[in-house]
Amino acid sequence: MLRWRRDLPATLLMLLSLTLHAGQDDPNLWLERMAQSLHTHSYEGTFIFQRGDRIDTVRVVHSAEDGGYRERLQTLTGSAREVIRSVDRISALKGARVEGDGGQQGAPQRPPAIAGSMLRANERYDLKSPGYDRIAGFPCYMLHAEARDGYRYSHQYCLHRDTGLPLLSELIDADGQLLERLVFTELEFLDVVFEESLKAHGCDARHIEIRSADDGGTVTGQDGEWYFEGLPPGFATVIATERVFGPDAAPSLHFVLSDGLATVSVYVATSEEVSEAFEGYTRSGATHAVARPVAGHQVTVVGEVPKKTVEWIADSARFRAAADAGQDAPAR
Amino acid sequence: MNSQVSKSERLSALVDNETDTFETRRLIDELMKSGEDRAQWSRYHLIGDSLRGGMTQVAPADFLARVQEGIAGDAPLDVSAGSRQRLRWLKPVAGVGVAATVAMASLLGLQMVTGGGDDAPTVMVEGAPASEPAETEMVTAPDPRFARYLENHAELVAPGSSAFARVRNSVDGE
Repeated sequence: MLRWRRDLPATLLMLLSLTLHAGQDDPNLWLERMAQSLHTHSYEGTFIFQRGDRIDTVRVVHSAEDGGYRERLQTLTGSAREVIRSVDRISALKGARVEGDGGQQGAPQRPPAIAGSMLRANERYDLKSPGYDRIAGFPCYMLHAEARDGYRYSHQYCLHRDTGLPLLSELIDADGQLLERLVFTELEFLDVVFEESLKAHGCDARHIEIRSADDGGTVTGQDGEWYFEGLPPGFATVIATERVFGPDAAPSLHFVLSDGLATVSVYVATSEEVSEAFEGYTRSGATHAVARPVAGHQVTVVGEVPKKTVEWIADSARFRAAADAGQDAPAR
Repeated sequence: MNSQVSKSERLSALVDNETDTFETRRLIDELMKSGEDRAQWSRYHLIGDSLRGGMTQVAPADFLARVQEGIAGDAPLDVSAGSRQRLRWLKPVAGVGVAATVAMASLLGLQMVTGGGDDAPTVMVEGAPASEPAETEMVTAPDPRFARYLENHAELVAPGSSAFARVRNSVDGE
């Protein structure tokens, strides 16, 4: 008995260790680790970005700062381009907050940071791991999310074993064709990021600064409400806000839809300036976009999903004029 | 896990030309049988070639598959015709626009602003609401209304994964 008691801590420790080990290989947990890794690590490295038969090599310095981040990106191949980005804490974390009610009827409000639970809930991907690999000299956990239908692409990641940062990310269509691939060739995690390394080297660098509005945006247009009815399977609205494109532009409503991995933006131009309604389609790599007039507004849907998915989402957009807001009289 | 690491190391050695004749032959046999191994092999080549620098073009992602398809095909002429069809299909895919990464999104956004040249995404303007894609008119210059939305959407997405799109959302605009 005494011996049993003496061995108890060791036994518990062993069980705990086994549990942790089991958890370490759970694809769902790794998916959540990946989402959390974004703004918590500073690093410097080089990655390759491949779309179809084109490839770019990019140098990145990423500094995580107080929940937000600053980063400097520079192309190493082709024409020289440089971008300095600065994103504040609210903008970086905005997706992790549940938006307040704002007339977003017909679609459930979900906190965007719950990619893992969304995936588990809608079961639109088969998650599996073929084990560990090594990228940029680091051991990484391979995570495959295979699409179960044709309304989304399959994703393949290799996540840094210690941080969850994706060292490899691939997007694959239903025919098994690689659409996009990002892979680090060299990476160093930094405790301190020197100011000098975040400064533009060239005078023609592009500066992008993203600051969040205090009110967190709204989903209600000036003349009515927008919502979605009958979205493609697994998709739900995760963010609804208002955007302004340029100093003189009228605000657009911006909805972000997701199935846990794929992301689709829906822009609704609320201005009356859409005198010439635009209807069209474009594709670039894995990104598809469709534009069409809906109820006298310009609706543009953009996302890393197949064409039929952006079209379905555009068809799902509904408008309820302010005068009809209390009645069930949606217009399309 | 061990077998995975071991396979990775063996493939890596193959890419680095560090395998003997027997091991090379054995690995090639394995490559022909496993799509996953082939994907990894091509990934290692990509990384290696990139590290050596100066590369802006790579073989299409399914290059090896197509070679294999060509070898296996009984009618070489038919296979060749099929391949050409696929290459045509790949053209719009190769166009640069927005990416599933915020990094490239920013860079590509810049390309859009400056015109993009050959890299400009292909835009198809539909003549009628119910028109089929085959009837669409190809336009080389992206419509500015598309470009700003493409760019803005790309701003959402973080390096490495579109899974992170939801954590980047700006309100005030650029």
